Amino acid sequence: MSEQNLILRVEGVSKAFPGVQALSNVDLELAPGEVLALVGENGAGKSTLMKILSGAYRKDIGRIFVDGREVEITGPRHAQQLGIAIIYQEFNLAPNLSAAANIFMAREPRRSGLGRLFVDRRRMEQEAQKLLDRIGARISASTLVRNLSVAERQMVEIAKALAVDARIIIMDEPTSALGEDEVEKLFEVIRTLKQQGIGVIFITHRLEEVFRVADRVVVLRDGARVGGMPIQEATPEKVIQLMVGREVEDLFISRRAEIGPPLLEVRGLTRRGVVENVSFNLRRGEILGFAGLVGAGRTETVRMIFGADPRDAGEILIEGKPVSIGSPRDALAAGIGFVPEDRSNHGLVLRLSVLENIVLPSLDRHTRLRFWLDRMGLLKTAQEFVNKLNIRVAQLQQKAMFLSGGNQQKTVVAKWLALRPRILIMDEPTRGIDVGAKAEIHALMSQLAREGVGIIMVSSELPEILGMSDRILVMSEGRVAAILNREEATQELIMAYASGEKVEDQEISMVSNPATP
Amino acid sequence: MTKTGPSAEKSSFLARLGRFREINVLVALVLLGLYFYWRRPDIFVKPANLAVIMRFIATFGMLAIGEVLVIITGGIDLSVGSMLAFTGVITAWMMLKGVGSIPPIGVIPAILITLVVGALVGIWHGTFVTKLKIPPFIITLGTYLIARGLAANITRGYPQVFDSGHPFLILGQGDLARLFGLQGGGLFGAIPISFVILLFIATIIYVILNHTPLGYRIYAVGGNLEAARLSGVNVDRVRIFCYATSGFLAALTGVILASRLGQGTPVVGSAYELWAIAAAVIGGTSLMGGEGTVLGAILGAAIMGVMQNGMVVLNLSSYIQDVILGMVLVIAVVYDTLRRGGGFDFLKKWFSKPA
Repeated sequence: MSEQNLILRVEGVSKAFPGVQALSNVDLELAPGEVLALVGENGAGKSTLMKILSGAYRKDIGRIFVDGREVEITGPRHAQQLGIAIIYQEFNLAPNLSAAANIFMAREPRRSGLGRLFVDRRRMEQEAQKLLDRIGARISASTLVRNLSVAERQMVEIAKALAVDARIIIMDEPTSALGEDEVEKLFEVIRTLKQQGIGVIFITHRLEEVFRVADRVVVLRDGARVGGMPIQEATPEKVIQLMVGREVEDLFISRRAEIGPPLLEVRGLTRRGVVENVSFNLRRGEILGFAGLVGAGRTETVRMIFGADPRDAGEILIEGKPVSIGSPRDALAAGIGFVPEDRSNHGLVLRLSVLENIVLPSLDRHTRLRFWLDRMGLLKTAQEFVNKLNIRVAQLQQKAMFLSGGNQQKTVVAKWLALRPRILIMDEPTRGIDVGAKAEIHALMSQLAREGVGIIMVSSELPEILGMSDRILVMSEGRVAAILNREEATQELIMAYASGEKVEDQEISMVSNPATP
Repeated sequence: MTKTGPSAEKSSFLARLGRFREINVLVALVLLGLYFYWRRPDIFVKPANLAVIMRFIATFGMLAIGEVLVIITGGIDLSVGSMLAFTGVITAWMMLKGVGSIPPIGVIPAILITLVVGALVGIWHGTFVTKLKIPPFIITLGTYLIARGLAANITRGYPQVFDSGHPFLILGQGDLARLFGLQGGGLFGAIPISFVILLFIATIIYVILNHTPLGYRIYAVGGNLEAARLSGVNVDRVRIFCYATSGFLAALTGVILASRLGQGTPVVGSAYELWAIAAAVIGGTSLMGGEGTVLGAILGAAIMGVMQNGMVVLNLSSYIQDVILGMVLVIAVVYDTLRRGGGFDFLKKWFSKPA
């Protein structure tokens, strides 16, 4: 591609923060109708680069060209005028307004004449509908945003970008909150944008997606561009190697833990309208994968087991004895730990230090006379798990908010390990964290299983489910669709059960569940 | 990316001072004190004047500590001003008139009952906030009206006045000189008993916040309620404790104030809750929850006390005093917000060479 045709060209951009060189001498180019995947571990500088392009940060040095003309992006409004739009992971939508009102926020079409004081609601909805149709989103423009799914909200964000004539759309981890079927819809939208000559920069952690949608991939590591190539020349191994700077033999460390007697038994767990009659068991040293589409009730199920949400019916037995779990405190007492899906809102108190976060569930184990905290004991425990999990932190007093996603997740895991649980529930344990940290968490899970801990792992990534689980429980629409052994499970089979295409009858389910007597 | 052991805890004095969060407030307090001392050295540091400041700090520091606890958990307590009036009135009523057919009771039992009432009102607030999910602003606003109304009803609007020799009055009017029977006694003798009580309470709350599991949990609940709950923290109990403590401290302050004024009166303590909140905020408490310290509360109250007293010493009109105190509050909060949010980066830009 010739330079004149590029809609965006970044040349030698650097940016430093106190104590960190976030970007050094980075180049990037984007042609109209091109989908560029920008990948890298957390802290590689992807977000910094995107924030510079969208005007949230100013670059220290380097040059940026839009349509071949050098520009100095002075702020978000300026970026917008230049045709650059960014769609963040957290959407900037007003839930109580309609999709149309969001799309035209602060630029609502007015009526003519004296009516200019008033919004022309009909025209606004018509034009919003045109934009939504243009990207193939099947949403009515008059729907309130709070009634839309995550994927649909994303469509609204994209339409909003198009409403200001964006020609460069940056998407920051757009698939991290989407289920498998929704991801495909998003990719269709991206292909539509591509046909219309819009350049898309796509930031992701899921390599498989890079190969599904991107034309070209650029890899950042430690703030520098370490490689870029057309997708035809790229292989997953090559990209991962560039990302981590070392060879990754196998993403899933092979493990064979001794599977012991049943540890946890769940019978008839129900919350009306959400989860129906879920029964399964978990054995010592076993990793039980929970697969299914987003909204199938997996998170709801595990939260009920942990006592985080109320249940309408259902029994929980640990080592054959019924336990009454009405709150997370009861679950803790029963030896259950829970790594929630949303680590920054549910897993950590971001304003507190790593130390305080790690010891929070086990404070009572570090007291003298039941009330006086043993500070040295707390420090020792926290340090032990920081070392054990290889959490990279300057000091234990560092606030959790300043850690990378991978280290935050390890901190959440650490706080449960400090309690030495018998059962560990992990909801999307590796979502949004980099390849290196992901491998470390997987290795840790294997090790815990070898130590006899029973692990429930909810995951939307099928390779992870297949690579890590001893058995796989597939949920569909609030019910258990199937429980599969590792040997019989395939990506296709799981998807078939998850989407409700295939329905297993009760008898087969019992057979394929070796733990059921 | 270095790994640190517990030994890395021992850092240099200067580094520790840098991490000392209330340092800004302390520096401001010292500068204010020096200014007033420079303007009126003859009055400002006289033991009698310092005693006035200490009484102010005793009142608002105590209330601010209660507010800090509640605010850390993400709440607010608007009832404390009215609670001062209510608890002052019932304690005086119990000592002087008795309730219904029950004859007057002794000083100590009356005080203890009042403190229990204060704590119960706090538990009432906490229960509504946690179990019924009523916004703290609303439930404590209810008590704001109810408590003052009850105080006025009990007394029919008339203050319950103590005789000048009543032993109860030592609590609010006495100082260390009187307590120990010293003649003069200088600055030490001038320290009010109420200030000593404040230091005692502050020490207890400080220890709770910094050395007990409950303290860690209070910060965790304020920082992220859901994460704390999922970590097995009994978040309702933690929050109820904070409201109960605020109610208890309001009652204690109410008793001391009744003693100081020599009467239980329904008109005392108007808008004190706002002053207490202001003191907490000046002392670095974040209204967003999760942050705040006992020392900050006391230093915040001290800044307000020194300002208010200093302006009296300088003979400023009381109208302008409120204007200045209001401005101090705004400046303190703006400063703190900018400091936290890195909003002072523009200063760095002004003072560093372009790259």
